[in-house]
Amino acid sequence: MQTVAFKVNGRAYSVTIPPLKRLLDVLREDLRLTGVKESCGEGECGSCTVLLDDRPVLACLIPVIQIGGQEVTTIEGLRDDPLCRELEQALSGSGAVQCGFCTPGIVLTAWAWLRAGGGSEPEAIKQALAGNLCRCTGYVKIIDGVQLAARQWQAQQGEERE
Amino acid sequence: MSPIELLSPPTISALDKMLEEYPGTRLLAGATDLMPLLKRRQLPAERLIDLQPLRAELDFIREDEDRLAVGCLTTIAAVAASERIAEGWPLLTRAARELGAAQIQNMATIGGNIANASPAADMVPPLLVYDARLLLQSMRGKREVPLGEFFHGYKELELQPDEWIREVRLVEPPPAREFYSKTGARRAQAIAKLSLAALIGGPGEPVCRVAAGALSPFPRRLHEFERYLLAQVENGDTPQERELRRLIEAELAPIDDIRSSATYRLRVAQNLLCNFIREAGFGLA
Repeated sequence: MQTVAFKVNGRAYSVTIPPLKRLLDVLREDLRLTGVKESCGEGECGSCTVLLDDRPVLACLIPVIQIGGQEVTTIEGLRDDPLCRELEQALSGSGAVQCGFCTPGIVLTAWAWLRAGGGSEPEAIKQALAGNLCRCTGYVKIIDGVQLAARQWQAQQGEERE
Repeated sequence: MSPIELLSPPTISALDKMLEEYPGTRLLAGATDLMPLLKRRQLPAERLIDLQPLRAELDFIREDEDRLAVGCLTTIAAVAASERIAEGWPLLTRAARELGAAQIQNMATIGGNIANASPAADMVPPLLVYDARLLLQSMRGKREVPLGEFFHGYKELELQPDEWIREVRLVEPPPAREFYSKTGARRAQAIAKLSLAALIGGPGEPVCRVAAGALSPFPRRLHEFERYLLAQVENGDTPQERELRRLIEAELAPIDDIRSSATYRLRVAQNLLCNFIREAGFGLA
């Protein structure tokens, strides 16, 4: 057992834990943040995407010891974030959510990408979301939804600048 | 939970000491290759050493005199985003952007991609055509080894049990056209069925460096192919496509596996490499 200190959604935690325990299991079991999902558990599908210092990573591939001193954001942490709300509305409005298991990962990946200046071109969105698999929708509606959110976000950013 | 012990070296000299005491211990860098093995209980290890405590010292892209040094913990995302790398070694930028998806690129490291020694390691063919060298370190000291001499067989390395890869060193390549092609089951986030990197220049001051991934037990240069092409160009003879195809077949040893077949891999490699040569402006007979 080792003690690891880190922040999740702005809150500081210090947990005494087997150091190779997956961040995914720490978030779900110890911190009860069940928005992060496990599908493949091998780094192929993106369901367990979380943000580490605002960059998307896979919680199933991270031994918890490696996040010491860093800041993790899960979907729960973006509840009141305006860009996240934009994405949620655009995705649900576009019919991009069926079973919903991949959705938290998709929202987090798209959120980080748009925050880093990503655009609204479908090809670029596909590239940005390449690591998030969805077995229900066939992706078209997801791309539509992210594109819609991107346009609205860009328009809002433009207004704020004016 | 896992009974594997995890060691966290506070300093680089502590790491050297740990490897001296426990030679052959696997190192965790970005953990993207080792965590799936751990989950499937396919990692036969009593202990692992976590390199992340040394991130401040080992995650860098730095110009030292006439060369570029890339620290072993530099992420693939940082390689993909580096303007200096895009300008001087653009095949590395290409390979980094096609390695996994954003999430993997943010975690995986250049040192890990080399040390894991997958035949399909995406960064290795470009590094081979750039004649990259590795700085290896242990309690016994440091030594520099050409990447082309680092792989001896499938997962068999020049790396001694007490050594680790500290940095990758690059010098500016000669002017030439760059070619890169990764063939996978889908365009994004796929492990390569095969990958090819090449620098081809000339006919004045001809250059020919070609490396292949996932076509042999470890990524390698095609030296016979390179020598033949250069000799033909220097003699003013037109390279023969049939001979180039024969040399590719002779130098590579593709296998049938879950991702592809040997026949497909070889045929695609031959077609792509002959296309590279034609696109570089050499006629083929």
